[in-house]
Amino acid sequence: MSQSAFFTSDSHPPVESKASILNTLPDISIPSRGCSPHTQQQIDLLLLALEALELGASEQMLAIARNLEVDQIIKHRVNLWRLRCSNPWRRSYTRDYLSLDQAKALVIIASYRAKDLMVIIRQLLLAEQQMREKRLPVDNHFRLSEYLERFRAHFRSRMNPRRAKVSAYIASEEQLNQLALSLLNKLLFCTGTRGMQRVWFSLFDGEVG
Amino acid sequence: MNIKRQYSLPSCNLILEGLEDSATENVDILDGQSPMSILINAECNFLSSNQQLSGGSVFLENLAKAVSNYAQGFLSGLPHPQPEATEYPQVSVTKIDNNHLHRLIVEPEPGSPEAKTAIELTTIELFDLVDAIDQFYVDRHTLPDMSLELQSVSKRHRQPEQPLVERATPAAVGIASLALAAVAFFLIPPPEIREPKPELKSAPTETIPVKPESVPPGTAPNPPRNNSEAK
Repeated sequence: MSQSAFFTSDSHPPVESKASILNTLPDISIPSRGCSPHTQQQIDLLLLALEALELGASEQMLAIARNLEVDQIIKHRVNLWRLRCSNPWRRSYTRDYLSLDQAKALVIIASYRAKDLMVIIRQLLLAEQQMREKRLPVDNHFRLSEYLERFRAHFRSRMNPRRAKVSAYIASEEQLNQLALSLLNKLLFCTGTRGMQRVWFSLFDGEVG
Repeated sequence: MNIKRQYSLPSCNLILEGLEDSATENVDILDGQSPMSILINAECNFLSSNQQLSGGSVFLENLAKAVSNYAQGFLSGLPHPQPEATEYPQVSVTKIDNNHLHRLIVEPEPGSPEAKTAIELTTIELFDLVDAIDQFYVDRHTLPDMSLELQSVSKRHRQPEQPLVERATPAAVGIASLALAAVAFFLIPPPEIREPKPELKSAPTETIPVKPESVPPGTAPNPPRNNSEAK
C-alpha cells in the first residue's frame, strides 16, 4: 500500500515542485474577488521596509522569485510594481485585488528576503531598544537613522498624501518612524522557524468570517 | 532513557527533559531516533535578564499557547483571545510601555508555596521565545503528540478605526441638542389664541349670479387659425 503511494507521488514531480513553495502557506477563505485592501496594504508596506533596508531590493525580490519558481506569478519588474500598487495608500493605486497565490508569492518573497537580512534586522532593533533605554532619539544611531530616513523618503514619494491616514503619517516624522519600526518587528518575525506562516495568518486577522 | 532537548536562541533557551518512547514502531526509520514522548521538566531561560521559568507539561502547553496567541496579536495589532486555561500554572502575556515591552506572567495554583512570576520581555526576547517554541513544535522527535494551530481571528474581533467614543460623539451631541431644544420649546408659553371679535354692524352683502355669455349654436368656441400663418 505504501509502495503504491510512493510511486504515485513520484510520477508527477514537476507539478508538485511548481506549487510546493506556495503550499507552505495555507489557503485562507477570502472573498472570490481576492484579498482585502488592508491585507494588500500590509504586504506592500513590508516590501517597502525591505527596500529601506537595502539598496536594489526590488532586484533581489525578482531574483528570489526566480529561485523559488514563483516567476509565473511575479514575472518582471513592472508586474511586481503593479501587484504592489494594489495598496490603496499608493499614489498609483490600481484598485486591483490580489489573488491568494499572488499574495502568497509576495509574502514568501518578503520572508525569504528577511531571512537573508536577519542579522541587520536584529542589530537595528537592538539599537532601537538601547536608544530608548538611554532616552536618546533614534536618529542618533547611524545605521538606524539611515533605515528610518530611507523609509520616510520612500513613503513620502510613493503614498498618496490626499488620503487622511497617509497625510497624518507624512505630517509627523515620529509617526512614520514608529511605522517603520513596527514593520521591522514584523520582518523579524518573518525570520523565525514558522515566521512566514505567522505573518501570513496575521495579514488576515479581522478579515475572515 | 532520559533525553534532553535544547532549543537555543540568542536571548532565550528552551530545555526539555523527558523519557523516550520505548515502543519500536515509533522509532524514526531514517535516523533510528525514538521520540521523546513523556515530558519530565520544561525550562525556559532568558539570558539577558538571567531569569528562569520551569514546570511540567501543563506549564509548557499553557506557555506555548499564551505566547503564540500574543505574538499573533502583536503582529496584526488585533489582540487574540487568550485561551482559557483550566489547569495551573496559568500563563498570560500583556503588553506594557506602548508595545515596546511585554510582561509574561506565570501564576501558580492558588494556595501553593510558589510565588507568581512576572518577567518583562523586549520584542527581541519575545521573538526568541516564540521561535524556540516553534522549533520545538516543528521537531517531530520531541513530544509529537503536542501541536499548535495558528489561525486568523474573525471579523468580530476587528477594532474600528475610530474609537467608540469618537464615533458616538456626533450622535450624542445631536440627541442632546434635540433634547435641549425640546426643553426650551416646552418652557416657552404657547401663544394665546385671540379670537377676532365679530364686527357689530356689517353691511349685508349679496352675490348676484353672473350669467355666462350665451354661445350661438353651430359656432366653434375657438376661431379657426388663419391658414397663412401655418404656411
